[in-house]
Amino acid sequence: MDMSILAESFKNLCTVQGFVFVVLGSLAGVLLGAIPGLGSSTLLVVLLPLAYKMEPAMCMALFISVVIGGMSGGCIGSILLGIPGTSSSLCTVWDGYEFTKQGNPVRALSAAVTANFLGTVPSLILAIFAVKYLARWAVTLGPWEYAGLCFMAVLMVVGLSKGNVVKSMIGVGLAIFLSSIGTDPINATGRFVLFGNLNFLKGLNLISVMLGLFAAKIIMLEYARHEKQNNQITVKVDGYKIPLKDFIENKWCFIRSWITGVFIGFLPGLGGPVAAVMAYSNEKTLDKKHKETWGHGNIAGVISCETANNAGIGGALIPLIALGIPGDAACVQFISALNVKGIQVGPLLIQEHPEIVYMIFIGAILSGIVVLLYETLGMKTFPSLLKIPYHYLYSMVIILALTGAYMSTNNLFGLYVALGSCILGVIMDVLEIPSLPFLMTFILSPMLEENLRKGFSYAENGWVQFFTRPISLACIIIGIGVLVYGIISPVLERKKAAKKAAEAN
Amino acid sequence: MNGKSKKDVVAGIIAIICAGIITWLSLQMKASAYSGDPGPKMFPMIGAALMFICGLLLIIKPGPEDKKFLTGTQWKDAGIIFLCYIAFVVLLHFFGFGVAAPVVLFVLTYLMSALSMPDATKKKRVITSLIYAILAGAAVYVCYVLLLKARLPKGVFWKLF
Repeated sequence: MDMSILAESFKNLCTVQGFVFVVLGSLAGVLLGAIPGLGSSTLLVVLLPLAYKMEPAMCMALFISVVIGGMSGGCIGSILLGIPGTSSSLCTVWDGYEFTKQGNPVRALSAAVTANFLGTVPSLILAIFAVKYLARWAVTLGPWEYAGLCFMAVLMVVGLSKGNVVKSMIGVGLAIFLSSIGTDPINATGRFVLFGNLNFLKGLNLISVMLGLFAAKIIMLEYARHEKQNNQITVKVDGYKIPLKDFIENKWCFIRSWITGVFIGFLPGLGGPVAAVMAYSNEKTLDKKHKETWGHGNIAGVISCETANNAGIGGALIPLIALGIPGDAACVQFISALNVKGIQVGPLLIQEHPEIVYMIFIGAILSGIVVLLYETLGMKTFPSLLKIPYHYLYSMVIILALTGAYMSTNNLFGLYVALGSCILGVIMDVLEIPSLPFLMTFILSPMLEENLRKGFSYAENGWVQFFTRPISLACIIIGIGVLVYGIISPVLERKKAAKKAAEAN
Repeated sequence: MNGKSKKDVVAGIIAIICAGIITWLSLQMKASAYSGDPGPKMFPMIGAALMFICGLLLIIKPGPEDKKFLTGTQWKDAGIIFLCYIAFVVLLHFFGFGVAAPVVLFVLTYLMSALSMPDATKKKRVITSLIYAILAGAAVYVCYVLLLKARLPKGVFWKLF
């Protein structure tokens, strides 16, 4: 680790500009994370066009602050309203909301806030060390290994996303096609230049696709479903109380959940929601003494979820920085923001742009501290966060999203792509095609295609080399294994449930 | 087809049609000039093959019957919001960002306030939405145009004068 660059990054963040970005990003993240519906990833999408105008390292500090704030803020809606602010805080509802119903929300909020901080910061410290070694190893890899890694990442997202595997694969096929639009990476041949429109030569802009697929579609459907009524919150929240006793009693629960969070975060495409559910179910299974209290206000339920989802942030940053493979949806937006500046995410990032890498880590740690300070000192203000009239917020998000789509191409084509993606997103929702495998494939496709074709060109024996190189072969086997698991496990679960039902009868 | 998902069958048919179109378009691409390179058509054809196989699987074995995605009224409401998006594009092109942002902001805020302020009178909703649209529109303009120096369209209509 280069201490001088680390110190330089810290110095840059300690300027007025850096401090403002971290504080505003963290607080906006907490706000969007707390309000059920949008989440920090929508805010990140809306902020993506700023990447054109901002210095990349500072932009990353802002983005990571939004992620940290959003992940931490998610527990507020879960505990006070019983509605998860983000999908990562879904299982915090199960026990956290029980405390509010019992008139003691402060205990759950204090434990959640502390778990957020203690989950985030150690995972980032681990990531700082792991990234360098993984990146050093990654530069020795050839196109066969990279193609194998991308192949594995896509199949893992499909296999582990718990959606319909066949439909997920349709999403993968669609993403491969849409990412192929534009100039081919090896021959520079124009592909699918539809209607002779030369704007297609540059390909579909990722930022426009995400603005349409997420911000525009989500708000349109939430309005249509009348999901956003004003929250009738009457609960009063007192100040933060240090949950020392809760953490001492649940120290092993905290450690196990942290390890689960980091590991799940490391795997491509899973992120916070899966980490939280997995940690919660692990702890529930292991806690034989208090099994009946789970789901009725067990503080370990809050600690396990909130530790795991935040630990996932550091875990997700490791493959993102070292290999260029996004650990979760938020990481996809980091790649987009850096691509805007022509910076390729991957093993060379830490060598060529160490200031960006360290800025991400330092920004994340500072943001963790800012969020902790706000959430401990300002806990009394949590109910008012949930009372913000949503019509002001949502209409603004739409204007920012559409403006961002225009800025991404500097012409109306970006807006057409965003509107097209919005329609595509609705069609995918109607047909129940999950969007995460689509998005992950869309972002990984250029890397996969380039390495796949280079692998064919460089090899003496064509495709055989993909199976004779150990890492490439291991990635292919793991990818296919996880996909097969994704296909078989629902069948086995159904059989098990049917057997149980038959026995009960 | 009782008890089976019609959506899955529709998804399967769409996937197969898309796969056919992608294959047809890919076959028209030229081969690569580099030896050993499978060429620009290989990757989109992998996507098409995936869509074809999975589409076929969905048609052969659709899942169980599923619930309705949106009701008729909900589709209408979604359509209204989408029309606002289109209005933003049209206004942006003809009248520029200075007009498009506050106008669409006003319409969206007014529409959405019907849900979040159900007890407010129409007049109150119009006034609050109007004030918000002007203030927030100005704030966005200052942030993007003056601070970030973003080149946002001024509108072709104003060029006539």
